[in-house]
Amino acid sequence: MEHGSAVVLERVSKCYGNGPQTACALTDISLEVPAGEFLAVMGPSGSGKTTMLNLIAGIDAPSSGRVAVGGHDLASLSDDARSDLRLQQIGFVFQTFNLFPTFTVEENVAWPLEFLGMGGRAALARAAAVLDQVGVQVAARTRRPGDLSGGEQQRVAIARALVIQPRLVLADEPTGNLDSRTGQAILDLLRELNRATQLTVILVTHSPVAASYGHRVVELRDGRIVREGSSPASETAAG
Amino acid sequence: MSRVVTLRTPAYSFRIPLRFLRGSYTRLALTVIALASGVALVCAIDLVNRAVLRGFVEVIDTMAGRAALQVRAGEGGLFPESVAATVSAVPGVELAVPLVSASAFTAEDSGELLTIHGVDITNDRAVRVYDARDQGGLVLDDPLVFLSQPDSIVLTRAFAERRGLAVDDQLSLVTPTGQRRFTIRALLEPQGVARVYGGNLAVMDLYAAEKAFTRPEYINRVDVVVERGDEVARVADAIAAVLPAGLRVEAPFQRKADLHKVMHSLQLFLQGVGSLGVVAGFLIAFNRLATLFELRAWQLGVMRAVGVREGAVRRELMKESLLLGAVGVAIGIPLGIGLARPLLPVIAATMAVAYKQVAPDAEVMVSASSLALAAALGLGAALLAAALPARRMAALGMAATIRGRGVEQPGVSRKSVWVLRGLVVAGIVACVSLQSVTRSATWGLVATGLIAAATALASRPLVQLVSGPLLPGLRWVGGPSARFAAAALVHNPRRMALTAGTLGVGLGTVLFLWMLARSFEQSVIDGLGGAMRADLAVTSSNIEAGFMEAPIDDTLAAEVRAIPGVKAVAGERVTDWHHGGGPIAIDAFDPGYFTDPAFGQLPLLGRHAPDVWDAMARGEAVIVSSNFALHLGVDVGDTITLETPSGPLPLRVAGTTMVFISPRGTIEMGRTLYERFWHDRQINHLFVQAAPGADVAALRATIAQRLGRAYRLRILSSRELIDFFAGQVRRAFAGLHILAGMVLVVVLVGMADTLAAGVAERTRELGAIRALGVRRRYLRRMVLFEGMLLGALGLGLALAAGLALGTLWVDATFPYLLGWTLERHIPYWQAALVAMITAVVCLAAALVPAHRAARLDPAMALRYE
Repeated sequence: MEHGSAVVLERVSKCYGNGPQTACALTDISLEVPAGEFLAVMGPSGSGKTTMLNLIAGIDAPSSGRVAVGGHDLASLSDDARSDLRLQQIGFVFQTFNLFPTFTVEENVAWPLEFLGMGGRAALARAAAVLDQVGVQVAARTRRPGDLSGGEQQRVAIARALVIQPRLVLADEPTGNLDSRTGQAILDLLRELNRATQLTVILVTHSPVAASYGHRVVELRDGRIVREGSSPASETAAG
Repeated sequence: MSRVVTLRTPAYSFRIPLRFLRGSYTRLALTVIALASGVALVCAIDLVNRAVLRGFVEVIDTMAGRAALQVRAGEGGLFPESVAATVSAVPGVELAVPLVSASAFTAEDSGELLTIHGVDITNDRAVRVYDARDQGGLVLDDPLVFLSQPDSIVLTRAFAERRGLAVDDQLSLVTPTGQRRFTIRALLEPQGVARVYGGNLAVMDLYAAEKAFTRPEYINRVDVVVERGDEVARVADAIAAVLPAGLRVEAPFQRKADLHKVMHSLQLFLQGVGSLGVVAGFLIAFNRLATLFELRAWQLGVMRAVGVREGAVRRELMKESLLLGAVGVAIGIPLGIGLARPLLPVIAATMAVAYKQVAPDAEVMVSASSLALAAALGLGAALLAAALPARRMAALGMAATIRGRGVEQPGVSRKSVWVLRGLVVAGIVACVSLQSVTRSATWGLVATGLIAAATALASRPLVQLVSGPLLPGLRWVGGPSARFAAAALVHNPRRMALTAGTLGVGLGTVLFLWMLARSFEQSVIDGLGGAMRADLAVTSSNIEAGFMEAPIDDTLAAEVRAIPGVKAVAGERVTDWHHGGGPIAIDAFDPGYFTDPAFGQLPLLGRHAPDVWDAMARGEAVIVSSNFALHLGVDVGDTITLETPSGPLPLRVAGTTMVFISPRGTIEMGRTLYERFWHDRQINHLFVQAAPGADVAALRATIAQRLGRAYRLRILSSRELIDFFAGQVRRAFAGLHILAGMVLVVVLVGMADTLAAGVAERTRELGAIRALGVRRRYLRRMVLFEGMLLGALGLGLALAAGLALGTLWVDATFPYLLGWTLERHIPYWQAALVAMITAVVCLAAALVPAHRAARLDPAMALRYE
């Protein structure tokens, strides 16, 4: 069912080191994510969740196996082509926000558009629209990230991921540094985006509550998929 | 999903770099200042070099007037007036003007130098050559009075007005034949030749000038005006064919070209020193940019993760350094122009002393090419400083970079850096060998650059070498604060090594320049120490050009010999000549100097003829200077033939000595021989031996009383004369000390920058230390220790680099580039001074960041990003 799949992982492993010192973050993972799905990837620390996300984004390369995103086999793409794929089609949300401290909120959202060839003013205008969408107040937009709360910063990070109108959003523990109420608001936002725009979302989390937002949950342990199934919430909705 | 398409990136936009630089302006200010200082140094030296050369060239052009050719016998050689008639008979010569060109000094205390232009006043055509006329022509009220009174003189209006003089007033001048009074018969307007030397020019009738400055019917120059439409080169060849041996015909442009050639080496040397300032600025910028980019590695990782191409990331980083470079250039160029003005007289004096010229009135004129050179170097240094770190950062693995926020990222492979170190060392060895084989200073200059590179590259192994024993050792000495300081060294080896390397290169440059100056000065003192042992040395108190005292007629010798208490006298004449296609000097002593060691003895180097001193006294042999032997390939036993005004003179070389009169070489000979062939009876020094039991102080007073005023004499002991020459060397090197000082400022600014940045960049870490309970004073001490450690490491590198560069230059490059051969002398007390200054500045540079570190609010620091 690869056609129509946003992401395909085929017997993917990622190992580090040589010989007896080899440690594998992922071992023989196979997974398909249909377009428009909200997939939650769960697992404890060190289970390989972030590694899997990095492989899907093309930030890292697998030791073996095949990774395809949007029908493109990442191994067959050059580094520049993988960069272009990320810039045009994949939005990445980091746990620690990773906003640039010397950029204003607007500039933090707009800069990927500038690398897509958009002029400064047009980029800022589009950024403003996306910031509206994620609920960042107008007054906050000319401030620096350091002046914002954690929840606001994460909304800005999500806006940066969305501003390029991606087909796929990869969110690496987006609520990990937030209090529960703020975290829930962020998750609600992601779910709404998924529903409204059929945006494919892969959410990495160690929280069962966060995982329940997904249509499907995949559980990783020691680099392997140990469980895969619909989330209780989606079962309830289907039922 | 759609096919991946090629993207446009904001190649010419500086929006992204400007946003990244926001919030770093203060941190980068010192970096910009360092770059600007390097740019200012290069700009100033280039402007000054051009101004000085232009000043000397303008003098040649103006003094030549309309004359296309000049006939001379060296700088001051005399020849019969009849030569002018011979030259005027050559087809193509419109006019041949016999001239006496000399120097005189005002008789009062200031001893202002006047250039004397002795020409046939009644020959209007001759006078017109120099355009030295007032508004109505050179109108003399009574030309017959002018001719009949040998004390007649014409001054420039500018000189006369400065001294409150008018026509018919009198002026006392000191000439080689003693003090004379002259009557002002006319004043010249400031045009033509009257413009040179700030108006310090006097025109006399040829006969009167011969009487006062040369000898009757002897001149020292013929200026030739070539007939319109005739080819100057052809006429020059025709004149050369009829000239007696020892006389040369040359065009002013040839003199300019010769002057340019001899000055080029010194200018190249000065430019090299200026470039070292740019290198220091480059290292500082490299250090800061590498650190800055490293701290932002996680941001670059984020950019890559979001999808920016590696090349685009690299480009944005290069744009940042371009911005810094542009600001550095924008500040550095006006600074350089401002610096050139006070530096100009110092460098002009250096060149005048070095090449025995009169320092001209020179003015700084801003030239586009000087500015372009400085701008190109500044921007180039900034871009180069960013190239390697930008490439490294852009190529880092994205995932590891984002995870490794705040941690020094791995650099290029150690193997490749060691290969580079090996190549640099091999390069140094190759260049030094090539220099000694080819005798070309170019290889020495390349080796100099490589030694600077080797110093920078050696810093990291040094940091790693000392960090092992350092940690426990420092804890024992300075407690936990010192241990933390050493740990900072270990955990940020690249940054620390870069800073230590910058200090090493910068301070090493300063030490090398001081070693050069010290070696030159001590070599002069050592060389003269044995050569001057007489009880007294009598000279003119006026300096004619460079460091050489004005000549005095040798009748002075007889007058001094006649004073009771004087046992013997020996005169010395120093003059410029030419041999083997270039300039040399002749240093001629009376025979008594060679036969009586009480006067002193030239220190001989290596082998010599067994009868050297007797042969010198008899005028049968000469001694050559070590640089003469080096540059002209002459050895003891060889015969050299000098072209003299009286014909060719073959001379046996009986020995070599170390003398510092001419950069290309000096010939020592007997003065009887010299006088016979050059018709020159003047002396520059008269050495006096007191009779046994005579009171030397009383003798000195007697000479001063009887003859001092008439000749404007200076009477010194041999020690005082040697000190005078040593002082002249210090004067010649004054410019170099200023440049060394500026390089020191650039380096120390960089040091302060690094220490300040180190604290700012570790705000979180320092905040965590405070949060854990460490007292403020321990943090303060930690930063101070860090500063001192860096200073110590840098100084160690500097000593090694300074010694290596100093040895290379003293032993080889300096003789091949600038001419003089030197003995190596290490400037111990200057090295100690540099060490002290470094310690003080490192401490001072660390004080403010140490205070800031101690004042950190832990809560705010932990939130710092």
